[in-house]
Amino acid sequence: MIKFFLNGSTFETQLPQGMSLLDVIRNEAHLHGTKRACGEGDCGACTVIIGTWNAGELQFSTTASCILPVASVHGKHVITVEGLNQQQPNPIQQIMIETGASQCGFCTPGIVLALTGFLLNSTHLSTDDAIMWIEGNICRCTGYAGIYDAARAVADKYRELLKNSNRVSVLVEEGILPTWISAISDNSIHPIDTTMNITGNNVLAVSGATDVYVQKQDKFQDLQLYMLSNTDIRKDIRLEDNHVYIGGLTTVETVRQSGVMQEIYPEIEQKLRLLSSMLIRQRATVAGNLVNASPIADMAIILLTMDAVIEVKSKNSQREIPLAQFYKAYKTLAMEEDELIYWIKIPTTLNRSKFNFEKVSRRNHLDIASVNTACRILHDNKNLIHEATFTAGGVAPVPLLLKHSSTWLCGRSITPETIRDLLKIIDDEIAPISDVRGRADYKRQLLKRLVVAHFITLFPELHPEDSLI
Amino acid sequence: MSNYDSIDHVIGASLFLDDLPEPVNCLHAAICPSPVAHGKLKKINIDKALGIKGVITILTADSIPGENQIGTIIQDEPLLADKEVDFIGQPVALVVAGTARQADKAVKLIELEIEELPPVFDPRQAAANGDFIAPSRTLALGDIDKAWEKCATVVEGRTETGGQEHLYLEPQGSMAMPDERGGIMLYSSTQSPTAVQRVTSRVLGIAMHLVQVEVKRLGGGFGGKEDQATVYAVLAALAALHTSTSTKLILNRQQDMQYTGKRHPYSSDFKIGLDENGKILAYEVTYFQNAGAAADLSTAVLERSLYHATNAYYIPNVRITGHCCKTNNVPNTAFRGFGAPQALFVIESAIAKAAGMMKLPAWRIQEKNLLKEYDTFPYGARARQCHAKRAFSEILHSQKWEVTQKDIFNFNKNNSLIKKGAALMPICFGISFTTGFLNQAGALIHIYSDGSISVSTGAVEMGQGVNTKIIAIVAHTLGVNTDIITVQPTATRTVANTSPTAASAAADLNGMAAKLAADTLRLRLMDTAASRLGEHVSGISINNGKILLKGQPTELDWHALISDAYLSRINLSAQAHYATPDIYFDKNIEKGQPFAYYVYGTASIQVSVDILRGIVTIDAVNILHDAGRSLNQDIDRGQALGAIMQGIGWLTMEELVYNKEGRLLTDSLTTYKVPDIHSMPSEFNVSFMEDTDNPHAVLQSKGIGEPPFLYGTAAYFAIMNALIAARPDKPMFFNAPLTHEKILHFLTCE
Repeated sequence: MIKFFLNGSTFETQLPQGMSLLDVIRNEAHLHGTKRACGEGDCGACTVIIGTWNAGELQFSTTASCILPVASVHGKHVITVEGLNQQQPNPIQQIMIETGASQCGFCTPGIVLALTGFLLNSTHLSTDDAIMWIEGNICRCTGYAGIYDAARAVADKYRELLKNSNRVSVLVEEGILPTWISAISDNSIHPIDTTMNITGNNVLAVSGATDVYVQKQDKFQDLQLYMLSNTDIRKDIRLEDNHVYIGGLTTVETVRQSGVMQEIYPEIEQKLRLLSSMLIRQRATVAGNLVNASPIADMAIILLTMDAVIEVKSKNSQREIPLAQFYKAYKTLAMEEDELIYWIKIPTTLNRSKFNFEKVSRRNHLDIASVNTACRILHDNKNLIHEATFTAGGVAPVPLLLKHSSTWLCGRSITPETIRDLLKIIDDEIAPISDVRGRADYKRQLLKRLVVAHFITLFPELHPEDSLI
Repeated sequence: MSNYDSIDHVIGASLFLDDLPEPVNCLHAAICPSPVAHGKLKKINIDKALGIKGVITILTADSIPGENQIGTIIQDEPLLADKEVDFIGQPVALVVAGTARQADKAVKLIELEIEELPPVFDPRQAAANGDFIAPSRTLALGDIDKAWEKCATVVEGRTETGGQEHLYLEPQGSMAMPDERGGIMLYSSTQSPTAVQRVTSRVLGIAMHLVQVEVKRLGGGFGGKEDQATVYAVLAALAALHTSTSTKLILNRQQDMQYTGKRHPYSSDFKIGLDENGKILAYEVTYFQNAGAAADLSTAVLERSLYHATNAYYIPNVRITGHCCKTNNVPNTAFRGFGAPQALFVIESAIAKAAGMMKLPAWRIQEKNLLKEYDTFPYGARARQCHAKRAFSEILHSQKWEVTQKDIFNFNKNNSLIKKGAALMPICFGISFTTGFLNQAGALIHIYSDGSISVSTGAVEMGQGVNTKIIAIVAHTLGVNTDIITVQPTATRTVANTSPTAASAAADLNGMAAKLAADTLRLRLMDTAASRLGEHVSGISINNGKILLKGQPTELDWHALISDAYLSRINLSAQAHYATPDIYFDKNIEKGQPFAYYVYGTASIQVSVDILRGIVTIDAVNILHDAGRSLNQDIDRGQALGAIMQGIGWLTMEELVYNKEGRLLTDSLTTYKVPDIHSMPSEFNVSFMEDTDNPHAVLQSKGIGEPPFLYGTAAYFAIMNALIAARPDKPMFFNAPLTHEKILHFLTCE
């Protein structure tokens, strides 16, 4: 039985633990403010806030309830629009009314929740941050002008007020959060049974579920879920023995904001904004992105350039697998079924290298890449390349480490001729196929341009564009 | 006044179809769709599916008591496939079960035996085969055959525009409840309650009065629920009839995207002739419209393409031909703009191509040919209250257009990695249903004894703010505050024989009907006030809830007056009907005056193209729009901005991709991309023209829903101008959407 707090009261459901939270909210709790629109976390109409106890503190995130198995909120606090509502529209709601942020109203509650999540969590409380917090919310009516104005007005109104203060109590005072929220203390709900065996039929290991649940909620209703959040797998980032350790449950958003990751690759904070939306990044785990083994997995493409090593454990064993050897064939991993990722390890010495990540998709944000590519280059002051790792997604059955091209590049100096020759070698190393994200020849062409983009970005003073495009 | 619904929207209290309380034991239905695009339906084996727990019944064409026919304009579409399947996703059977999940499970076990036939997906191929939905039509003006020789430049070409998924956030759905005397009560997410009522009555074989339809609001429509909501309502009704139990049918997103029609793709040929000064002398165009497998609204959509072929220009010699081609795609349907955007793209492509040939900027040709007062459209009507030139020149001025052009030129000269481009887009959009009889509406107003007011009309609220406008009209007419007025759900039992909420005309038509009903009540109440005050009625007025005599307050206020009227047994309800006057069309000669009036305006769009990566940023969108005397500027601005983004999406990122069997591959939000908040241009403004009265619509207003969609066309040509700056050696191409893939292909291929 799954038990959680729903808008401040305990709620129990006998429904299958694989049922989506959205189904439980709408069909069992009969709260209809949370809308069902896409069923794949790509529109934000079903956004809810999840409160989780962490080190004696309730931490809040926003999430798409349509792709969240209800088991993952066991013992947590779920807040829907009904839970936020007071006698009068709260300040966020009032601002949205005034800026014309709502037309048909179907996406509206999701945006209210997303902006609440922004106020609870945003570091800078800037307009840009506010937009990032609602970037996962699709509206087909407004053209976003009224929504943008609302986000900006909310950020402007609370930027100063929330600085250096207890956010929850200020937001309660402001009427944005309900008063019961300040009365919450550590809960009495016991964790669900975690002794389940993860091999065998009808068992699905789930962490963020942001990939596995996309369009497949129905399939999983009858499965036993093995909630990785109930294991001892970590969700933080550690620095140890000259290595960065990314936990097996660490989210993409945690990596994006991580200081130690930015030590290695300063632009990672900006670049990872190209990965899905804030709504999804808060749940999607790095390890999940790796094991999902999509040929265009953004994290795999980046981590392959970082000499990442995966630490896996099963009941009886523990071993390390270099990410470079992790992908054997399409959706086939060098990992056994009973193994789980505990850590992803990156050497900190990489910070002497330059990194770049490029991604082009049909829509510039909140989209899956047509082609993505990353590179790491270690060079001397004469532009002689000592180390190089180039990767490419969407051009092979797996996230591709361009081994041959990378090796070839080492020991050469960066000149237009080198880049031109490199492009030819890369061309031989890839085998894209035509699909909804583009025709094969487009992907081939696009990768070449993005490789040139690496050099233009990392070595602008050399003006490689003059002879290359 | 902000949108009347917005308070309920922001607190999540607004009820959509799937939020209505379900009756006890409500059943759920799921559609078994055709897996192939064309074939003979030999056998439907439902035995295994019936074995699934919870399945109550499975309905097929044989289960239909009335006519198996849902076509509205042309009756060519069965509700459930019989003998033949004509497109992937066509409903073949309906499973009715205790839960939606059980129904979905059973659908997968239905075995269809289909003998496949070769499908056609290309409208030109269909035309070559002689497969048309309806006879082709030609409009002509002047003598085009003689005109070519007078032209200094003649340019020919071909254009393609893709389809577009509506992507209303609320998917299609309906809930049917069996009623007494064999009737059905339907809740439907439809723009056309009367169409649902009429077709349900036909299919079930019961009279219309036994079928009642109610619509509270839609979570977006955009035309996608004008004709295509009907099938789901009728299927739910059929299930309710068979099971004598309430039945709900709601599509999930993928089903919605696979089963429902889109904006019509067009493939078109053009020929344009100009004199040496850029004056267009002749324009010939042929549209091959991909109608899909059944008529739906295709002939009406094509009709609007014909009428809008010359956009906001006067061209003396014109020949416009439209073919409504029958293919094996899902029947395509209404989508904001209704054929006009497709036609506009062709004439603008022709102008762009001619401009390239003549080494003139396209905007010079646009400017030179704009409509002026009393110019003739190819179908004989004349431009009236024409603001085409004014809007264009005001945009030229406000955007400092010539300076901008120079700045862009200089920027492009100095930058190889980013190229900028800009384009202007004048528009002209006729308001009225081109199907004449649809230009009517009804309203019913009740004033209750406490003075509060209930308004019912035929308009469906779908976010466009029609209810807010109707409240404003009624409040203005009766002289009361808006907060004592409620607009009721749209229901066939309160207002009958309604037209779809479509054609940008819902506020015009229903607002006018509401005004007429309110006028009737106001006259009655003034009489009541006059006799109560012992004065002549000519001195009485009602303003702001106060009853005035010769402009001065009296002892009477609204509440006292209503109470008095009630006690005096005055009728406090009024019904009214409005029919747009002076519109007609003679299809024999293809001449007439199909529109009550026209909407004008001009857009300026600027873009940056990242030449290296082949990606686009829309930098600035500035619009000057003619909204008449806007009933609500906030709502009209929201409509305009939303429409523009949808128009930009159509021509840039929104691409429908099919496999060779005709199956839609982009059937989810993961693969079909509509504009997100990052797609919004950093400069995004709409202003309204001052002093543009419109005597042809309620309170001098103008329809707003569709016309601004056309402005998005400027994005295509702005991007194209940036691409030409990067590759001046290559000719423009006219194949929308202009995706990142096409952009890179253009930039990199010889």
